Amino acid sequence: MDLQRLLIDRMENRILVGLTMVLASMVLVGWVAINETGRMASFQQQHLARSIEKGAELFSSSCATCHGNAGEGSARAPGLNNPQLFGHDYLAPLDTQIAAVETRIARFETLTATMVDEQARSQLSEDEFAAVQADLAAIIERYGEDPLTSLNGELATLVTNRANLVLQMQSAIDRGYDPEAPSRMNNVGWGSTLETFVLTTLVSGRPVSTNYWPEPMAAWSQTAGGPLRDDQLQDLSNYVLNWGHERNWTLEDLLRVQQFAKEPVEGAVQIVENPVAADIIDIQFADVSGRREEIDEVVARALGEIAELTGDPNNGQSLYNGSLACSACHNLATVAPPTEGTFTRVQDTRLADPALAGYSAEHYIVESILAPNAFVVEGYPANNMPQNFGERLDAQLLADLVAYVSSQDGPDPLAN
Amino acid sequence: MSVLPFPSFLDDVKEKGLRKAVFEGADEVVERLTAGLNVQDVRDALRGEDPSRRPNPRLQPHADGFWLHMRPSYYNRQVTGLYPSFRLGWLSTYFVFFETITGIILMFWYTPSPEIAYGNMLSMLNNVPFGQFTRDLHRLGAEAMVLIVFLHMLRTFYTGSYKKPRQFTWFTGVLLLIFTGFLSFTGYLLPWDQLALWAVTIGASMAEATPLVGEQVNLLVRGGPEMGANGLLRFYMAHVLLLPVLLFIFTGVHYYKVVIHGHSLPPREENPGEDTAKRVPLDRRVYFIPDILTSELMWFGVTSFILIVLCIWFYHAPLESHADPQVTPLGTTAPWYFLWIQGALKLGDKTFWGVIFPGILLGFLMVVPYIDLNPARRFAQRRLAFSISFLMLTALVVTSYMGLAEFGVATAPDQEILNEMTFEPAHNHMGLLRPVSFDQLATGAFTTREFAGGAEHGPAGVAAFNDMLQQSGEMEHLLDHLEIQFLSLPTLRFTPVPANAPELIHVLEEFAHLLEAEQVELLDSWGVVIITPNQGNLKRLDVVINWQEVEIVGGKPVLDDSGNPIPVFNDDGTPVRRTSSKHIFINEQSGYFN
Repeated sequence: MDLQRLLIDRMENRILVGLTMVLASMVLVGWVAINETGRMASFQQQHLARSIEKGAELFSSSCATCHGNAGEGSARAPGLNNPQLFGHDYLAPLDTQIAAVETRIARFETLTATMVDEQARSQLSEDEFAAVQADLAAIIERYGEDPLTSLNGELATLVTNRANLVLQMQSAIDRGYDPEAPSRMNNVGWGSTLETFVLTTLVSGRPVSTNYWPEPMAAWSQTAGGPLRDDQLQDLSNYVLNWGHERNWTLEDLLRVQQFAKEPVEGAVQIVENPVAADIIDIQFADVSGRREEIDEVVARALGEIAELTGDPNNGQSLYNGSLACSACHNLATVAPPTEGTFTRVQDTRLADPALAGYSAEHYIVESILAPNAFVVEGYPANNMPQNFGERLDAQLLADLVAYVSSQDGPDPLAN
Repeated sequence: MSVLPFPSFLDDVKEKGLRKAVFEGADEVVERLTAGLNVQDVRDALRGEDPSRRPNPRLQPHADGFWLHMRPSYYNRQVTGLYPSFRLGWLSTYFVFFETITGIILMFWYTPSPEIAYGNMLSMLNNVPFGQFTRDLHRLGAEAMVLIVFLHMLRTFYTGSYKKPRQFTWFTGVLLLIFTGFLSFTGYLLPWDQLALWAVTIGASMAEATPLVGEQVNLLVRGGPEMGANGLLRFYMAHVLLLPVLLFIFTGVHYYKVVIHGHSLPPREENPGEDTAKRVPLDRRVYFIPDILTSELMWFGVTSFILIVLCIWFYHAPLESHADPQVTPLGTTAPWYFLWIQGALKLGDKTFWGVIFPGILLGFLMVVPYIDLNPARRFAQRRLAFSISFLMLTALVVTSYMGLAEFGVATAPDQEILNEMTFEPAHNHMGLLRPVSFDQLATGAFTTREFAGGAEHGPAGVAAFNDMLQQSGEMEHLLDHLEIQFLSLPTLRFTPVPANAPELIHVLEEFAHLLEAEQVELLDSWGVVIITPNQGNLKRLDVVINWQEVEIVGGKPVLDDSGNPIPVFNDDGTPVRRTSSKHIFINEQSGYFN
């Protein structure tokens, strides 16, 4: 076959074909342009959906242990499948109705007062007077001859309903929910969107939450030293926000929440009745040498007190991991020495230090708890450990804590 | 009088009258633009008439104009048809410009950083008008270009066009083929999705095998021991700067050589050793203006139209999930045009098959015209060269096939099946469960025993399965297994798949078939799919396979004399059963089923 003939021989036809193709291409591109908005929107939706799927995977493996499989929360972390997080106000519809009735009562009272008061009435123009009369007539038409009674009756019913609704939430209230302050975002004074709230919490964690949670919320982003990439945090955030997706929150949703957020409160630190060493709290590293004698004296006293007591290592452990949150820092060897092998480390390494000549292990441990700056281990920052345990522990709690720390006598992971 | 040093248009009007002045002015503008053709010449050309005056004005733009100075003024009629060129050289050039233009547009939306590159791809798809379209065009063009350039090389070989005096043209052509491959390959990484990361990781691992300086080459290419921010930036710089510069320079050299030697005539037109391309008899001349020019414009329209149609209806550039160095997808391969190297690697030594062998091959290609001194260009007189080329092509096809994940990579059959059920969309395919419509994903627990395996099928099979699980204690194992996968269920009761979920029924049937096909290695197996609600518009799907372990040596089950696999037993004589599972989440809006 002559391949030559496959080509278009006549120039006019070539021009025609080329022109047709260019025009057809332009029509097609125009067609793409028309559909572009819809296509982008549907991609956006599809991508969000797939991102939620990835977030679900991350949540079930990394977050569900504390926040609950269904986001209901646990003693370790607040529920996220939670009307409080999404700021749903159960009382709002009733409050609106109550406000409306109250306004109406106030209006009726003003109107009747105007009608009664000769002087006030005389100051009204004809039109204004007619308006007042019409208003009154409307209220009477709706609420009968004695509007005040029926309005007050309606108000009483609404207030009772409101009280009943609050009563129905009682078990949630017992777990820390406040129906009068239903929005987490308002409570913490967050000025931006819920999405940024969730994302920033994920990115940098909540290091301060050790004060009121057993463990702090960790920083999850790689930027802040965590394990997850930014896109994964976005996936997680999309997943969490999906709990609020087209959601009509019911009372059951509220009651299903096992744990509500705890607000950071001023003075959340518990001060015990008979603090063991309230006189040596807040000693900065620079001041240690000046107050050395005082420290030694108080520590000796504390040692004497706990010598007569039996420490309970189990209670010590729950203090350590719980309200005192020691384990938050003493976990990896980054900000503080790890918990594992503490006692061994004290005996083998610390006491070998000439600065600690004459110390017993117990002496060193007690001093380190009550006056952390008295001896700062090389490689770790001074002034970093809270210096208020002297007022947060009484002799028994200190004894418990020492008993727990002394039980950490396995091999020291830092010893080579 | 005008203040200008030359007569103004108004002076012309005064002198010649408006009509004549306008025509003459237009004529002059056209002549300047076309570097020598006036309106009459253009009209004549477009009407197919002969050139009007002597010397031939249609040759002038080639001598005077910038844009056409590189094009020949006329071609030999023998080379203007579909044969012998098949327009492949022209198409290659078309793609050079096509890729440059679409690539520059994409550069506006792209930042070469692992933190943001994937986000850029997403915003290109959901927030940039024509973003997806441009990306599709660029990607399709890239793959087409590799193919076209390769075919161009084959054509040149078979018509013997590489022979004297065109040896160097061939040499630069092979360089261009290599640059094209690398351009396509470096572009592969830029979306920073799983497909990109792993295909490129496989490709770039070849660099490590370079003899003596492997480690240095690897560091140089990736900017670190692993593919990361530096590697991405380096690939980007190579993709948008280094390789395009090389490609443009050598395209220039290549085309310059084509023009000065003339397009080689079809082999049958010349005697062995003769080269008459430069001597075009008058009666065989086809002038660039207007014949070749209009033909090229037509091809431009046709090719662009085809690409646009393909990108609207038939081809979308793939984008998988975000690159994750921790997660290796099952069945990862290099891009298709590098499959032959991946296949060769399976033959043995990494350094030899991954670096030296391709190096020798490409080196051999480059020097072909200097080795093959046979002057004949006709097929019948080049039997040896043709035989060698067919051998090499066969080897290329075979090694490419060997490069596929199916060949020679042993994956445990349970993992294969789990992957088959669940894998994320990749290469326009996805796991069987994903396309099931959301409302047919009925909450519940379903088993393959409803459809195959075991003594009974249908509802009776499900009931028997429930009983078997309870009696053998497998139920507890199953619940424990799910617990580890973060799915806590108090109890499980298997039910037949609801009749109003035909898609789910179909998937479970497929699942049963997959298990049956592997019944030698997965002895007495069952599979289950457990669907649990997670959020209002989100469900969790767990796929579990349980089977009796058989003796396996070297990745293959050991068979006894009658051809049956040999089961493994615990010390207490009970059979060893294995469980493996995978789970995915499906959102109502994910659109896998569209």
